[in-house]
Amino acid sequence: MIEPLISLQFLSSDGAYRSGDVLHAEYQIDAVETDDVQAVELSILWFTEGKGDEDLAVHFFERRVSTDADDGDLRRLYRFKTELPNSPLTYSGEILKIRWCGRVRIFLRRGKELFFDQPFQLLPRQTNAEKQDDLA
Amino acid sequence: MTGHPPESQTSKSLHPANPFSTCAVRPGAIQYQFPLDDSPAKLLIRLRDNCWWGEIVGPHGSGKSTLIQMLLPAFQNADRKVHLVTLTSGERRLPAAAHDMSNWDDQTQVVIDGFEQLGWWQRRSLRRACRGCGCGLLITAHASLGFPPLLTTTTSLGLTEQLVFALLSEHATNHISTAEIEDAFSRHEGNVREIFFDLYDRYEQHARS
Repeated sequence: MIEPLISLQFLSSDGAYRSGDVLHAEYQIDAVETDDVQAVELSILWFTEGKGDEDLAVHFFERRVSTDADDGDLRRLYRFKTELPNSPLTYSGEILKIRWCGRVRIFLRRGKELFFDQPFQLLPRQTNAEKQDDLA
Repeated sequence: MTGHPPESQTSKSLHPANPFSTCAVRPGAIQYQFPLDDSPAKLLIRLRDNCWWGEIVGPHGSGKSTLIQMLLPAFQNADRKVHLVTLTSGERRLPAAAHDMSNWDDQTQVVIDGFEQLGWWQRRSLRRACRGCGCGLLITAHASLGFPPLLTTTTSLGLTEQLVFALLSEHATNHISTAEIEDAFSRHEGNVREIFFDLYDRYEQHARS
């Protein structure tokens, strides 16, 4: 049996964003019947990874059910945007790493769930000098 | 607007940057490796035959908590209502939530991971409460505490290598050698939890050098 496919695409050239940037993205679901998809949840979240206890927080969350979609079809391409916060920034330490990702979770009939994670980086705001360098 | 190619995949979390990160090695993330002649189903039958009382005994880092996590779905399939309490070092009393035994009955399976952490009085009270309700009691401990023996967990170098290679197989770069696994196994006396901590550090060192 073919598993449903979930695709999530960030509309940025390199998957890296600065604090305060607006993240534009879109997701789509495929290889599944319309009626089988009961709900879709989108999260933009960060989590820690490393040697000790882990942490996770959701920055942006949106749940859609069939009545929220055109023709009740949750599989169609859906665009969204959210302004990214100042912190926590992506970090790759030896003991602790902070990672950001978008997560699309679909809820199917008979209680089945599937999800897909797409990572991105959250970098500090550009300084004025960096902005000028970019303009030059 | 330009974008990088979309990726499609289902139910696949991001790989941790380090294969020995907590999310990859915590109980439940890796499977307990049963001996060839044993299985979760057989273990559950033995437990049922002991009126759902039993103990899993083994040294630190030998897979007791991992085994418990693996048994949880099997309990649910057997219509057991699991009440799991995980005690860490120095926890001499049951958490407050565990004191509410009003809904415990003969379908309840109490599972205490780290039973020996409890003080003598707490252990005695819990045994009596479970007998009174007719519920099952499965415990883990480092040495036998007089419950019907269910399984003794052990580790070996071969098993540790198997687990490590399975974790590394998800990663394109393999920074850990067999000699390093052997060294970690020897220094931590087969404690797989400590071996994973050790290999986490080694992986980071290799990745950054």
